[in-house]
Amino acid sequence: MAGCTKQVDFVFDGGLQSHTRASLINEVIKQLMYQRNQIPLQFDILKQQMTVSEAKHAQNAAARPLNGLNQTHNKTKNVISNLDQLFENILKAFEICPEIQQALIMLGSTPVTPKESYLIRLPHICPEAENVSLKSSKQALFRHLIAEEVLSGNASLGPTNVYLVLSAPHSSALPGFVPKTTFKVPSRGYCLTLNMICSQPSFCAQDLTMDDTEVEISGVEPFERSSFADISLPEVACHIKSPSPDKMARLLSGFDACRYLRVRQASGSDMGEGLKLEGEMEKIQFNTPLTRSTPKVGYTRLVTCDHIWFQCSTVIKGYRF
Amino acid sequence: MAVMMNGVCELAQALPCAETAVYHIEVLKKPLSVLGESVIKERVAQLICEHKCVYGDFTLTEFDDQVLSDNILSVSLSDSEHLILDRKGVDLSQSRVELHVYTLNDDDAGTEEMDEEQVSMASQWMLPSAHFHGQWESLVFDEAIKERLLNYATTTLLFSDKKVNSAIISWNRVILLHGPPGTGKTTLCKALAHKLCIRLSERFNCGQLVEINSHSLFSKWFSESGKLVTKMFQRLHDYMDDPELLVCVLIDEVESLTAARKSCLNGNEPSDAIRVVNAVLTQIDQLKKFPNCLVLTTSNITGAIDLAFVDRADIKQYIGPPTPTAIYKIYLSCLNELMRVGIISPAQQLLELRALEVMRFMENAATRPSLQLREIAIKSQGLSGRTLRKLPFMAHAMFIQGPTATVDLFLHCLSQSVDQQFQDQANLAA
Repeated sequence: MAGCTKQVDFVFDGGLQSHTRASLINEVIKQLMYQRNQIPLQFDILKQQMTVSEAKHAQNAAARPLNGLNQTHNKTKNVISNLDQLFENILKAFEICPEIQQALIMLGSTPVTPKESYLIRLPHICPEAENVSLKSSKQALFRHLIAEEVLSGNASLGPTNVYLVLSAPHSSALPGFVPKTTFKVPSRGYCLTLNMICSQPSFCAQDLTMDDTEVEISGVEPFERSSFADISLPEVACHIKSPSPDKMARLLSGFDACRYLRVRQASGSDMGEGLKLEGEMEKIQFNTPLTRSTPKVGYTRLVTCDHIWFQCSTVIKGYRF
Repeated sequence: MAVMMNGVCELAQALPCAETAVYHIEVLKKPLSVLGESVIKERVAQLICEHKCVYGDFTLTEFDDQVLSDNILSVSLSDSEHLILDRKGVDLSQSRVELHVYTLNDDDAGTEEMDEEQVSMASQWMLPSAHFHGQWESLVFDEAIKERLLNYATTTLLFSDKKVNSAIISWNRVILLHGPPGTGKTTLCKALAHKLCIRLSERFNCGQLVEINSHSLFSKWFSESGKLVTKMFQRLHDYMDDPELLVCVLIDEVESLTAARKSCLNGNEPSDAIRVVNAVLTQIDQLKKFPNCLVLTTSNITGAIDLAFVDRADIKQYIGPPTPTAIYKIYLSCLNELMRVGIISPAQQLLELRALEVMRFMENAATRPSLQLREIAIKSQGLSGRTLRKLPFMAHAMFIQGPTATVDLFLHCLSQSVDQQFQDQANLAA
């Protein structure tokens, strides 16, 4: 059963720094945990109450809470500790890898069968853009989240597991995250996409379809011959000038069966500021064959396909009082 | 030289294979590895060529190839016992070999709750799961039960893929394992789901095992139980809508959901129980249309199951208590494990039953402990698999209690433990 899909745009007046992106994701998780009934109070209030309660217990160690209350206390402590761990992992991940493009929060028994999924799409990194402060970006986010009741519109949900996955470049080593090479965004259940858009100058965009530089695509071979582009194979080179999405799709339509491409920067050519081809070559995996009927598939998509999902090893288990 | 060898292997693999048997080699990737499957397969194929002749199951955990040691935890061949019958060994480079690369999921079981009931209706694991790793290998049966179940699943998929008309040829995707308690029915179901997910990793992106908590499907409200069953199966339909997800549904102690309606009519059971059976039967019929599902059921009381359900099961496999041959294998694996951790010290080579047979059970210093173990295995006939796996622990707890013991002492205590077990059973019966 295909789930209900909804999209919401959040527009920020400038670029978002890596730390700001991580903090915004953390704030969405906090809000989501509360709005979707996974924690009984707002995270910060819950944490504050826990600190007070712990201090009280420390003062009067003999006065132990009743058994039922003790269980709730332990659950709360556990959730707070796990969430703190999760937030720390997210901050570290963005610090190490600012290229993270998407974050997916899933509520459900397992990551492949979630009841609700919240996909956060982040804007491209733009070093030249004027960055929005963390405070004002949080304010903008919350204004939107609260005013439009973005997270509370769906049917009620009982306590369940909360999973987080991040889409980062293939070679990233994110501490606290495990690569899930076969993971796909689930289509089951309720899906909400939060598009974080920055009003930043267009020249900073990493869309290579706008690039006029000469690019060489080499090492293309059908999948039947080899499932992986072999460096020693004679290079099938094609030179493209001003590669428009249409042109690129037309060119690649002859290689439907090809799973991997090697893209190499032509020596001496200027690839543009935003291009993220690291070193001499980058392996790119296609999820679907490129055909003429998919004109929107441009160069940017080829580069972004190198991203895989990394699942946070900390799983949050929701609870109720 | 190695390059030449590889060349020869490639040539050998290019030649048509005379053998029809397929050897499955499973490659367990490290959790943090992102290396492409094709690269791993290529390297493992070279590794297999280097190990020309194999005589049975093996597991490799150390590799000369740096790429493999950086990315792979183990390479293992399993279920070859019934393929290598002549005991002469097999040249894998001349055989049909299928490589399966997988990573284990170590997430805990998730629970599926009914929104309004707030009771856990099912536990779920993502497959292949670290929780079930090694269970398949630990199960010992005399007959090729495991192979039969795997072959059944393969045929099910083949028929679905070829779109065989189910109105002409019918199959229900239901397996019923029955037999006395402690014989490994539930473990076999879980291990089968895990194994299928590894073997079919090219066909399915991932897998999920859903263990239905039968008792939670009975409502406190009259006539609501049938509806709960329908809702539960409706959830399963949602999962099965994803064609790349293999869904294995486990119904343990299935007689609680499919109790014979005939006995219900005698007046001992309320009619709500009949509604549950009806709901399960109709829902199982509806699962037929999903090519990515398999229903695994177990029961201790076969006679109590409704005949309509039994009829729907494609395979009705009896899992009995292990024979002395299987018991010997179980004990051998237990003793090897105790030697690995140093509880039995010094470690001593215990021979497999096949080797003892070859030596015609001749007694000498090398075969004495193995022959003693065989005698204990013969004496243990009639005990369940669960009890057998418990006995080495009981032997240590009741008769040793020291940090280490020699093989001879341990075998003596194990024998005493078996006697004690039979004595306890006799006392209970009396």
